[in-house]
Order: sequence, then structure tokens, then C-alpha cells
Amino acid sequence: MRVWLLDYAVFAVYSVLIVYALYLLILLISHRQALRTLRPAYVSKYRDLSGSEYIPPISILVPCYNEELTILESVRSLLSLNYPEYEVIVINDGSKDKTLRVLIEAFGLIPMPYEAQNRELEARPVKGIYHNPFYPNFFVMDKDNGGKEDALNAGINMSRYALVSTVDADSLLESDALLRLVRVYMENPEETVAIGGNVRVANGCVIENGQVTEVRLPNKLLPLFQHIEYLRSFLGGRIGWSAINGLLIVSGAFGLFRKDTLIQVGGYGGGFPGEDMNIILKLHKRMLESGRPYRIAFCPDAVCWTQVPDTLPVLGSQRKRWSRGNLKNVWMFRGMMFIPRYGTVGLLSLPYAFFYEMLSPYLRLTGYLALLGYVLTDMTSWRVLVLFFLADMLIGMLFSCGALWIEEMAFRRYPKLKDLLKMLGFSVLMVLGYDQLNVWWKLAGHLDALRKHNSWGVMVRKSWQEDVAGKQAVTNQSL
Amino acid sequence: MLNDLSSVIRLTEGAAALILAGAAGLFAVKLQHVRMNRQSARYLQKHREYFSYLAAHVGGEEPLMPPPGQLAALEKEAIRDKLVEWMERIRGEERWKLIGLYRDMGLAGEDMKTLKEGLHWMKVEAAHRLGVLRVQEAVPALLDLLRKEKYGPSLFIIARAIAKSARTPGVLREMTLVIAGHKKPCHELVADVLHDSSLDLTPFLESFLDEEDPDLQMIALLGLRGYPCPRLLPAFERLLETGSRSMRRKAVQAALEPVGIIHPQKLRELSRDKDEEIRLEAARVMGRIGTEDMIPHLLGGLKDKLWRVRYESARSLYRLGEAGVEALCRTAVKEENLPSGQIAKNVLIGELRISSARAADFPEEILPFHRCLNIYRRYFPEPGHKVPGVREKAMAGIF
Repeated sequence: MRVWLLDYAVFAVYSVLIVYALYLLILLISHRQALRTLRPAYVSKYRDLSGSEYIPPISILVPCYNEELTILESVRSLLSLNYPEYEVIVINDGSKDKTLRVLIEAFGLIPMPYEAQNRELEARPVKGIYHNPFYPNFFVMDKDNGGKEDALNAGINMSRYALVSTVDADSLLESDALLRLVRVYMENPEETVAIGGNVRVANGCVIENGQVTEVRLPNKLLPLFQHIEYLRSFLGGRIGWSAINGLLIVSGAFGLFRKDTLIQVGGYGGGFPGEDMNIILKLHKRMLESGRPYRIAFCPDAVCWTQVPDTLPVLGSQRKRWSRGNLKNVWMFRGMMFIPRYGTVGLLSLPYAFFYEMLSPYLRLTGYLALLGYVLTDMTSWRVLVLFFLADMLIGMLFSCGALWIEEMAFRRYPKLKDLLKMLGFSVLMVLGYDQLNVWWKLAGHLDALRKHNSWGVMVRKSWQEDVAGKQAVTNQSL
Repeated sequence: MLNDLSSVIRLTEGAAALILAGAAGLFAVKLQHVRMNRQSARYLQKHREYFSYLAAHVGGEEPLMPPPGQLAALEKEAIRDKLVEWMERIRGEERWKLIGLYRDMGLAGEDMKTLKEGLHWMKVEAAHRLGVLRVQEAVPALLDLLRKEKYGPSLFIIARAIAKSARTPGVLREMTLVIAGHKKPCHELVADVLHDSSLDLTPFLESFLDEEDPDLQMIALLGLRGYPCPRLLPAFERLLETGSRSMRRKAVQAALEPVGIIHPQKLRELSRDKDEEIRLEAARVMGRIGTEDMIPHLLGGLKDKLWRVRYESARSLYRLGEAGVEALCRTAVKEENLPSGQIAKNVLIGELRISSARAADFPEEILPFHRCLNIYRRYFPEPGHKVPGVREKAMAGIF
């Protein structure tokens, strides 16, 4: 029995290590891309493009639900973007707070007649459209609550332009973020169907007039952990996945899509959280089945800043929701796995998502339980438990370190030495509880999914001006 | 079992070693970057008065003097970056004076050297700076770099530098051929890069119209948009007849953009084209031409199956002035329950609101706005048809 317990623990560790090995490979690809292509692109000034007649116009869609505290700052940041021609459509998805009133009062909006450009995507009825000629490119759509994907579909129906950008209501785009995204699109407009932007943690930063004027690390524990996680995921992971056209997700907080392909795949849907991953998988499937060359890219120098949860209940709610979404999406598209026809996505990305997102939490948990059982049968072998825990911990830190290298070599957003020391220090702390908590939330998310629980959970919004506890609005949102 | 544990031990040791080395390396690099940033800030502070001298004399007759004394490498870099930043923002003689200073300081020569010898990302940054400087001598080396560069963002940074520095159209042609050789549909980006050049693009872009390579034809169509060249019309029309869908669209934009060079009869034909994007372009241009004989065709556009064509046709009708507004009002009344009537009414309301807002700021717009509003009132006299957002009372007070 003892031997079996240890053998199982070793098996669990090696299984997880195989997945980590792939992640390490992706990290190395990210490094190469960052140094070779991103650094020059990052330093290149985009003033040349900002006045260009060749830049395609974009419809920016901002679905929102109960965002009265953050919506004004977000809209102001969008209306001051450095971009030649675009429109901003805020879709108020049946908010129960004063989101609509806040917008109407701040911008002097009045009702205007509405006719959908396209009627191809299903969405709940639109109650009204609001506009002010003094803000000619800004519209607010008020509609019945239908969830984020429903709101996005309604926004697509109303949009005028061939490119749509989806932006969360609590996101602040940098002024040249859209230009940087569109530059990637213009390199190959026929093949590019979607591009993801880089989401960075705004907690702790100084924000004025809808712009991050001073970049700072978060000063609370949870946002700081999430900051490192985001670096790992976006810089360490997505750059590499994008390079091999295996990206499974374009963050809902900031992405750019070709409208015609969105409509071809039936727009957003699914009926569960994880609509950002769902739409990308639908796009991959459609394009691979059609045999047309395509790419879904990631642009790390197109940055959007977002608030992340700073309390455990809200963070847990978010992570469980993500976990539910991942599980349902991987399950929905399981038919693509290990099928050569589906290329990198079928042979690499989806299996990786399956093993890493779905299986590895169980393997880690049962592996540790097995080790614990092994040690309990012979307390002198406690070093074995420590050894495995150390191995797990060090690999997590290795990924954080790799991501910090990319940040330092290609972007250097955090210029102070103490920022680096803080990030390195918290990378160590993360593996002493936070990573394990994430495993727990993943498992809880799976349980929710099996119970068919589709709520968005507890989401807390704070005003952009109050990073420290102040006014908060707690909302409960359901589909 | 022992083997398994020894593997785990080796893995742990390996990971620990990598992390320690990585963290140490990262720390060292960060320290270096922090030191460099602090030192650069100190150098910029040290040369504050020199920059004030530059700002004060950049518009003068005398050439600008380089900073006094021997400069450290990092000091030179700090001044270089500051100069490049200024040169990117300003235009005209002042920029050329700064370029002269940059050269006199030997910085252009250093960039040329980096172009040949540096690491890849350093070469691309040097190319960017040489482009800002418009250094003609750098063109051969830039073209060389362009030929070796893989397709990606760096390719366009180098291409833009070439476009800015080129003194002969032959260089631009060469550059375009290199990029087109990658067989990527980046036509808009290439056209945008070409427009960074101060040279006349027309001759060599015209020659591309006769090429068989569709990529070169597309680049030409995009690059020639907005050039009033009636002699190119036959080439545009040829591509309109024979080209692919995207080619036809670009040909229409090129033919229609300089309003007035296309024959009105051709424009009317385009308003009935099978491609909705071409009908859309035609509807847009009809409003800009401004002649009332476009009205029947725009009224036809109100019945188009595509919303955007209906919308642009309605807007163009409004742009034609009183005759167009009259036509819109008639349609809004007679075809009230049809898409054509609905779009006519919606656009009337929208455009009247915009005109009202403009009239508040531009007095010369008051009369035209009121004439249009009076026409609207004739067709929709009931109070229920008040135009939301239009300050009729405010406007009435002026008279």
C-alpha cells in the first residue's frame, strides 16, 4: 500500500510535469518572440499611423451590467483614444443600478431612432438608443438583460464597421492600444480574424481622466498575486501560443475581431461564462474546417488596464466562473482534440487545456493526498513530501521568473528595482498557498459546472478613484 | 522507486538552479537598467540649459552647435533620444536643423554602423532613427536589411525608414517589390508606408497598374486614392471590369475618391452594381458631387437591401440640400411603413440634429439649417413630430 501511494504520487507529479514541460516550451517561444519582434515594435512610435487614411474604422463594443462606478471613466478613456475613425457603443444589459442614468446625465444623451445594421445575430430586444451629436461617435444601447454574450451580439447588430473591438466596462485602454492592435491586423487583413490585447492590473496605478498616468504595483496582496499571474499568462503564455496559432482565448476585456467571421460563426453564445474562449474556439473550428489560412493573434504591446478583485470571496467567485467556463468550453469542443485536421489547436492547445485546466488540479490534489498517506504510514519519510512540494513550488516560480524576464527585456513597465524585488518575492509567496487556492477554486468550479450552476457570481466594482476600501457596490448577476 | 525519487531530486535541483540563475540575472539586468535610467536622467538635467538653447535657436539662421565637451556614451544616447523625440514631433526647417545637429554630433554615423553590426533589435531601432532623420546614405543598407528581414512588424519599421529617406522613386519601387515578394495582403500598410515619402508616387504606382501581380495592382489602387488623375481612369475601369472582388472595391475607391474625375453616367452604373460595397461607395460620392441629377439614383439607393447603402443614400440626399431634403421627406411620408421610408425619417431627424448643433457654433449654417427644417415641418407639421435635440426655439430667437 505504501509503495502504491508513492508510485501514484510519482505518477501524478510526472503527469503534471509533462504539461508543465509544454508550458515551458511555450514560455521559451514567448521569449524568442518578445526579443526578436516585440521590442522593436514596442519602441516604434505609432504617430505615423494615427493620422493615416488607411487605418480601418472600428466599432468598440462595451457590454455593461451594473457599472455605475466605473463606466464614466472607461467611456472617457475610450473617447480620447488616438485613432482616426471609430465608434463606441455601450450596451447597457438591463442594469439594475444607475448605469444608464449616469451616462445620460454625464453626456447629455437623448433617445434616437434605431435600426439594426445586421439582424443576423439573436439578441434580446433593444429598449432604446441614446446619443448626443456633440459626441458623434458615441452611442448607448439600452436592452433587456440577456448576459454578456447577448449584449455583444446586440452590439454587433448595431455596429457600422467591419472590425469590432470588445472592451469590458471596467477596462481602460491606453491611447495607442487600438492602433497597435490594428497594426497587427493590417499586416495580414485577409487571414487575421481575431487579435487579443494585453490585460494589465490597474490596482495601485494612478489614473487621471481615464488614463493610467503612473504605473505602480498593487499594494494589496491578492491583486499583487494576480498581477504576477497575468504576467505569466499573457507574457509567458499567450505570446508563445499566438506564435504557433494555438491561442485558445482572446480576453473579453480587450480584443479585436472581424465582424464578418463573427457573424459566420453565429456570434457569441453558449449560455455560460467563458464567452471569450468560446468565440475563439468557434472561430478556430470554422476556419480549420473551411481550410482557409487564418490567424488568431496576440498583441502584447496593445495594453488595457483593468481592476482585479482584492477580496477572497470575489476572487474565488471569479476563478470558479473561469473554471466553469474552461470546463464547458473544452467539453463542447472535445471533438477537435487529437484530430490532425484541427492542427495546433486540436493536437496541442486543447489537449493542454484539458490536462492543465481540467485534469491537473485532480492529479495535484490526489498526488498530495497520496503522499500524505505515504508519509503518515512512515513519519521518517516526511522529506519525500517536502521534496515533491518543493518541486511543484519551484516550477511555479520558474514560470513567474520567465515572465518577469520578458517584462524586463521587452516592456519595462515597472522601472523601479524595488518593484522587481517585490514581484520576485511575491512569486515565492504565491506558491505557498495562493496557487493551491487556485487549484481548490478550479475544483469548486468543476463542481458548479456539474450542478449546472451558471451564475456570474459576486462581482464588486470600485470607483477608479478609490483603490482603498471606500464606496463599493456589490452586485449579483445572473444569466 | 529510488530512481523516481532521484529524478525528482534532479528536477528540483535543476529548477532551483535555473530560478537562482534567472533571478540573479534578472536582478543584474534590472540594476543596470535602473542605473542607466538614473544616469540618463542626470545627463538630461545636466544639459537642461543646452536643450533650452536648442529650443530658442532652432528657428534661427545659424546652425545649431553640439553640446560642449567630451560626452560619455550614455550621455550621447540620452541626448540622441531627446533629439529623435523632438524630430518626430516637429516639421519643416526646424526639423532639418536638428537633423544637421544630429549628423554633426556623429550620431547618424553611429546609427549607420549599428545598422550593419548590431543585434537584430538594435538594427531595427537604428533603422527607425535613420528614418526619422531621413538619411539618404542609409538607404542601401536599409534595403539590404529589408531583404533579409522576415515578415513581421520590423519589416514595416525598416520600410517606413526607407520611404522617409528615399530620394528617388526607384528606391520606393524596390522596397515595394521586396514587401510584395512576401505575398501577404498588407496592401493598406504598404500604401501607408509609401505615403510617408515626400516623393511623387504617381509615376511608379501608375506602372504597377499595368503589372500582372495583383498585389502590386492593389497597392497602386490604394496609393493613388485621392490623386486627381483623369488619365488613370481607364486603368481603374479596366480593373473594375476584370479584377477580383477586393480589387474591384479598391478600384472604385481609387476612381471615386478624387470626386469629379469619374463620369456621372459611370457613377450611376456603380450605384446599381452587384457588390454592396461598390453601391455604398457610389452612394457616398453622389452626395459629395452635389448635383440634383443624382437624386433619382439616391432614391433608388433608399430601397437597397443593405442597410448601410440605404443609410448612405439618405445622408447623401440630405447633403444635396433643399432638393434632397424634399425628396427624403416625400419618401418618409409615402413609404412610411417600408425600410426606405423609415431610413429616410431616421436620417432626417439625425441630420437635422447635427445641423442644429453646428448652427449654434457656425452662423453661416443657420439659414441652410432653417430652410431644411421648414421643409421638414411642411411634411411633418404635428407637434408629435418635433425633432428631438433640435433647438428650434433657440434658433427662432435669432430672427
